[in-house]
Amino acid sequence: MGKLLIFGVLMSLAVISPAAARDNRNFMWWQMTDQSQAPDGGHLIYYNLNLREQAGTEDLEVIFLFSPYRKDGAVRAFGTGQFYKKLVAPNQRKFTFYGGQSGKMEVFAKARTGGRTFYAQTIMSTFGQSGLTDPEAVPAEMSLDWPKWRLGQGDRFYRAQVGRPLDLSFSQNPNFVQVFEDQVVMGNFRFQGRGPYVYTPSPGQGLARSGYTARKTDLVSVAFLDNGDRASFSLPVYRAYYSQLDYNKGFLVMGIFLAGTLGLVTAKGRRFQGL
Amino acid sequence: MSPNDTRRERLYRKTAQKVQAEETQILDWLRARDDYRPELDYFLAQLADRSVRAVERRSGRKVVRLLCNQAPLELFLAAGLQPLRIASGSFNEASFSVHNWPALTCPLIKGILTGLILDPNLLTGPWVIPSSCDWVVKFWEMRLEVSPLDMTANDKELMFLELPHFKNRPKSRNRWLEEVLELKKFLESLTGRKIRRPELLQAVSTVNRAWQAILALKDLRRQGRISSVYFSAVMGAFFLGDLDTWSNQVTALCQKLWPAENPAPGIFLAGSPIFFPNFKLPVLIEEAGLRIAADDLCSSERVFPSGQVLEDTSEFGLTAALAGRYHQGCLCPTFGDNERRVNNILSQTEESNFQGVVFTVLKGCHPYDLESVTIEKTLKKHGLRYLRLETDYSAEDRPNLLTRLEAFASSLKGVRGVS
Amino acid sequence: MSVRSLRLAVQYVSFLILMYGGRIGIRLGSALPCFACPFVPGCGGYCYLMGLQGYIGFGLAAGGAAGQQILEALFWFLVFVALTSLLGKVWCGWICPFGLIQDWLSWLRNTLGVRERYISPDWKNLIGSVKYIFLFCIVILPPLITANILPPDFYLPFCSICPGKLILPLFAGETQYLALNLDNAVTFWFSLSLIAVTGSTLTGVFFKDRLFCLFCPLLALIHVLRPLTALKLVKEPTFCSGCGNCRRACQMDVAEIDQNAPQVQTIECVDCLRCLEACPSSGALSLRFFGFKLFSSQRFSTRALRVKP
Repeated sequence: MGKLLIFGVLMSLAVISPAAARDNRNFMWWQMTDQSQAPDGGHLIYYNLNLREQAGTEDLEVIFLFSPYRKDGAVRAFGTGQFYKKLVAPNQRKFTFYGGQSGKMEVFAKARTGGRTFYAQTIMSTFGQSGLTDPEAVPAEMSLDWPKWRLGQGDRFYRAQVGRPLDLSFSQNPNFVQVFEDQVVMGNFRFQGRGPYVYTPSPGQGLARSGYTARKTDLVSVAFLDNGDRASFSLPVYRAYYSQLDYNKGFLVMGIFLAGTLGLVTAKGRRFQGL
Repeated sequence: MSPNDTRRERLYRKTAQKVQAEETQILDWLRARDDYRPELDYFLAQLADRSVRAVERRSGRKVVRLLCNQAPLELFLAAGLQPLRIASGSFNEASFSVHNWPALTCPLIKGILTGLILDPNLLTGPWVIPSSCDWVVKFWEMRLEVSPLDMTANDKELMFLELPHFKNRPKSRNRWLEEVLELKKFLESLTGRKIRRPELLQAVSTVNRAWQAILALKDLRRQGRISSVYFSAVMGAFFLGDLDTWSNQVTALCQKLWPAENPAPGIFLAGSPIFFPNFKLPVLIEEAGLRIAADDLCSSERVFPSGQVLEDTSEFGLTAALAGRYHQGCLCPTFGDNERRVNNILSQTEESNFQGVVFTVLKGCHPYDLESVTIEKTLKKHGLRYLRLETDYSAEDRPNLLTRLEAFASSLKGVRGVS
Repeated sequence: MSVRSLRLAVQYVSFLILMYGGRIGIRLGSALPCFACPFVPGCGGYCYLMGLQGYIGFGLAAGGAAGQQILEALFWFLVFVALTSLLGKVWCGWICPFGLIQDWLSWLRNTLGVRERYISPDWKNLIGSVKYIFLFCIVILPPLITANILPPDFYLPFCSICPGKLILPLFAGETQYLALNLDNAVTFWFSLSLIAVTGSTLTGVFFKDRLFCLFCPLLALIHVLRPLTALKLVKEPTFCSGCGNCRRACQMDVAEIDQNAPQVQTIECVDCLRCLEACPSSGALSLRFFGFKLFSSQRFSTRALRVKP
C-alpha cells in the first residue's frame, strides 16, 4: 500500500511538474521594506527592487508613479499622481527615495533595460507626507504614455482559470483621453503563441471581455496601440494579477493525499493501539 | 447409596437450613427496624432468594457467574446476559468448608464453595473468572475437591480473564484490553449474537443510570438520613435482578421522605468487601454511635467504578473505554501500584464529613491486610483517625468489635466539626 | 450550563467573529494567538504567525534604520504576549476557528461510529517535533527573502503550507487555494505542499481528535509563555485516585493528565476541559484564573454521563 502511494505521488508529480516549471523571468517585483522619519521631516519609503533577469549592462531606468488608491471599481484617478525617476546600476538591488503620499498608494514602476520594458504594480500603505523633495522628479506629463492596465476587476486580484474567459478591465488616464480623444484607441491582446486578438474599447470604457479562453500555459501580455505616434509597448502581466491556477490538478493532489492517508490509517494488519 | 452418602446429604440439608435461618434472621431484623420503609421490600425480597434460577427469572436473562467486578458489566448487559457476582457472607456456608481447607482460607471463597453444593445450578453454567487475587485464581481447582458429586463444568462456558496487576503501565492496560476483547467474543459465543455499538451504548446508558441512582443514595447516606445497613442491603441486591428495575427502585427509595440528618460522627468504611448476610460490621458501627458516611467496598459503593464517560463511541472505542475504566478505576489492593486508592478517601473527607476511617480486614484476605499498613500511615498523616478491625463471618467477636468501635466513636467526638 | 456547552458556545461565537467579523468592522488586530486566518476575506483579526513572518523579514531588512517597523513589530509582540498570558491555551481549545473545524470532523467520525485512532506517546513526540521545524522556518526564512537569497514567492512560508489557509477561506467563499499555482516552480511546490498537507491533515484529523494541534507552532509559542499565563489547569494530587477518566476523555491524549502531580498540563493540552468534566473526584482538577477557581471537577456531576443509546 505504501509503495503504491509513493508511486502514485511520483507519477502525478511527473505529469504536473514540466508544465509548472515555467518561471516568469520577465517580471520584477518589489517589496516595501520600511518606513521611517527622514532627517528633513519628510518620510522615507524604502523599496527593494528585484529583477529576476537583467539583460545587458546598461543602467536601469526606473520610473515610479504614486497614485492615491481608491476602491471605486475599475476606475483610478491619475490626476494627483506624482512621478519619480531614478537611474539604478545593473547590480543594484535596492534604493531609497523620498516622497509619496500618506494613506494607501498605488505604486507603478516601469523599468527599461536591454531594450525591454518591465512593469510592476502594487498597493501599499504609506506614511509619507505629500511633496517630492527630490530634484529628479519627473514632470506629470510622463503619465501620458503610462497605460493603466489591470487584469481583473476592481481591487481583486485576477485569477485566470483554465477553461474560463479572461476578463480584462482597464481604466484610462483622463488626461490621455482628453488629449487624444479624437484618436482611436485599440487594445491588442496577445497571448503567447496565439493571437493577436484585437479589441477596441471606447474611451472611458472600464471593462472589456476578451472572450478568450485561457489555457494552462498562457502568459497574457497586453499591447496598447493607438493611431498616434506613441510607441506601442507590451505590458507583461504582473504575476499577482494573473495567476495560473489549475483546480483540476489541485483536486487530484488533494484526492491522492486524502486517500493515501486514509490507507495508511486504516491498513489491515495493524495491531490495535490500546490504552 | 452408601451410608456415607446419606450422611453427607443430611449434612448438606442441615447446612442449607442453617444458612436459610441465618439469612431469614437478618432480613426479619431489617424489616422490624423503626426506620424501615416498604420501598426496601423489593431489595430484601431479592436478597432472600439469590439462587441462579431466581435471578434468571427476575432478570429475564441467562446468568453468567462472576467472581469479581473486574469484568465490565456493560458487556454482559450488551450481550443480553445477566452478570451475577457470586459471593457469600454466610457464616454457616464458610464454616462448612473448613473441613476441607486451611483455616486461613478466604471466607468468601469457602462460602462460595459450599454454595456450589447447595445450589446445583450454580456451577453448571457460564463462568467468567478474572484473576484478581490468589484465592480467586485457585478457586476453579478447588471446586474439584468440593464434593464427590459430578460437578463437571462445560469448559466452553468458562473464561479466565488474566488481570494485569499494574494499572498505570501502558503495557498492562493493553494486555487487559486484549482480555476484554476476548471476553466480548466469549459473551458473543454464549448468545450467538454480536455485541455492536447500539447494544453497548444501551448497556452503558443502563449502567450510567444505575450510577446516578447510586449517587442519590450515596447522598442520603452521606447525610446520615438512611442507615448504612439498608445501604448495604440495597447494594447487595445490585446483581440479583434487572438493573433498570433496580435503578428505578433506588430512585423511588431516595424520593421518599427520610428523617433529618444524623448528627452522629461520620466514618469512612474501607477494606474487604461485606456480603449479605454478613452485615455484622455496619450494624456494629451503628450500635457504637457512628454512621458510615462513605465507603470504598467493592460489595457496596464501588460495585463498579463510577459512571462511564465516553468520548469515542465507536464499537472499539466503547469497549476500550470500558476496559480502561474497570482496570484503572478499581481500588482493589490486588494491584501493585495502588497507592492512590487512599486519595479516594482523602478527596471525600470534606464533602462527606467524616473524621475517621474504619478499615476492615477479612481474616485470610492478605492484600487488604498488607495494604492496611501503608494506608494507616497516610491517613494519619492527613489528620484522620484510623481503626483497623480484623474479623471473619462468626459472631463471636461482636463484643470485642463493639467495644473498640465505641472507643473510636468517643475519640472522634473530640475532633473539630463533630458534635 | 455545563463546561462543555459553554465551550461550544464560545467556539461558535469566536468562529463567527474571527471569520466574518471584518465585514461588520470588527478588527481584533494582528497578534491573535489562534488561527484567525488573514486569507479569509472579511476576517475579524489576524493570526500572529503571519505577522511574525512578516515582521521578522521586514524588520531585519531595514537594517540600521529600522524605526517604525521594529516598533510596530514589538508592539504586536507585546499584544501577543498579553493575550496569551491572559487566556493561555484557552485560545486553542475555545477560540481557534481551525480547532472548531477539527472538532466538527471528530463529531462526524463519532456519529458514523468510526473508531478513533490512538498515537503512542513516542510517536506523538516524534510527530510533535514538526512544530519546532515550522517555528524555525517562520523565523529563518523571511530574512532570507529580504536579503534576496530566496525569491519573494517564499514570502509567508508557513502560511503557504498551513492547512488553515486552504480550509478557512472556503467558509468565506474563497476557493483559490484549492488550485495548484503554476506561476513558477516555487509557487507550484508551495501550493502542492499546501494541498498535500491539507489532504493529509483532513484525513488525519477525522481519525484522531485535534491531530493538527500537535503540529501547530502557535501551541509551542503559547506553551513557552506558560509561566506568565493567568489561566491554568491545576491538579490536586491528594484527590486523584488514578481512575484514568481524564486521560481517556482527553482530546489530545495527554498521558500525564492522570499522573499524581500538580502540573499536568503539557504542551499538547488545549484546555478543552474534558478531563475536568470526566473526573469523578471533587476538586481533583480545576481551572484557575490567577488562582481563583473557575471550574472544578465534581463527584456528583452527572452531566458527563449523558449517553444517548
